[in-house]
Amino acid sequence: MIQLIVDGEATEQQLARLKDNLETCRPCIEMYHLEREVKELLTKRMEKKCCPDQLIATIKSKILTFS
Amino acid sequence: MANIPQVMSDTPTRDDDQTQQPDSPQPTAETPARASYTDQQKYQIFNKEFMPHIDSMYNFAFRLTMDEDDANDLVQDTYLKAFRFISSFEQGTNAKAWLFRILKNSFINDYRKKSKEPAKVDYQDVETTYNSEDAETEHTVDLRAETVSDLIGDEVATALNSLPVDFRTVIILCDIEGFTYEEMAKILDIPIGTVRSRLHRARNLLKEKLRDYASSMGYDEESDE
Repeated sequence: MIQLIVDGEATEQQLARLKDNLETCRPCIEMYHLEREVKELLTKRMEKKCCPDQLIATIKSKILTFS
Repeated sequence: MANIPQVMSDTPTRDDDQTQQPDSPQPTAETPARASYTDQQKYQIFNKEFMPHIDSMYNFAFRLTMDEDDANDLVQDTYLKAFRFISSFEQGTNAKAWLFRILKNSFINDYRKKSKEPAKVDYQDVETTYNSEDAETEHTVDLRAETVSDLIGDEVATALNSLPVDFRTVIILCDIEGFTYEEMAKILDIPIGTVRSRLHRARNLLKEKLRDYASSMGYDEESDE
């Protein structure tokens, strides 16, 4: 499965077999590039929401009242 | 303290994981070795091991609830629970996965009902439906890598947000947070094989959304032959 390579989850053995496939099978090559592109898009280009400072302050003050 | 049983069920347990491997960073002891931390140690663990993940947690909460107020509440609840049950956290283990698991359980228990999800999706149903369409679905998604590389973050976010929450979750955990399949299995309480297949379905759905988006924007992605 191409997904396994893209996610870095393939075993050595799977990797070798999939690499063979990728060299010869055009749909595999295209699918591989597409999967990688989509993953990269999600990893790098989506806005990452940061936790508001106010919330951090609230949490910190609340745990101080716990024990 | 009437809410203890529910809260307890939100905290990760140690001996419930069939996918666990010997070298896993997660605790492996059969009997939870309840650490008795001093108050000072508790604050230290909280600040050193939990707080550094707060942006990731907030981002996850926001992507799940798609609402800033709900995300605030969810993150706060999660951190308070984490502190309350800090004795079941073992130092040196994967704090991020532990926190994500608590957050995801809180979301299911408390926030899913009131979140803006159109309807609760039974992922087993969805999976059965998609699985029955045979494994070749990926070839029907005639989206091209070059098209995808032209899309911007907002467009991806819109596509991602339109997925059912269970599919959205695996994509967030894997692609945005970089968890391994094994960590995801622990966070989600599902076998690793299910992680793999759910991720596969999720990505196919996402690609369909992206393709729809791309073609509505006038990108040419018809010529796949």
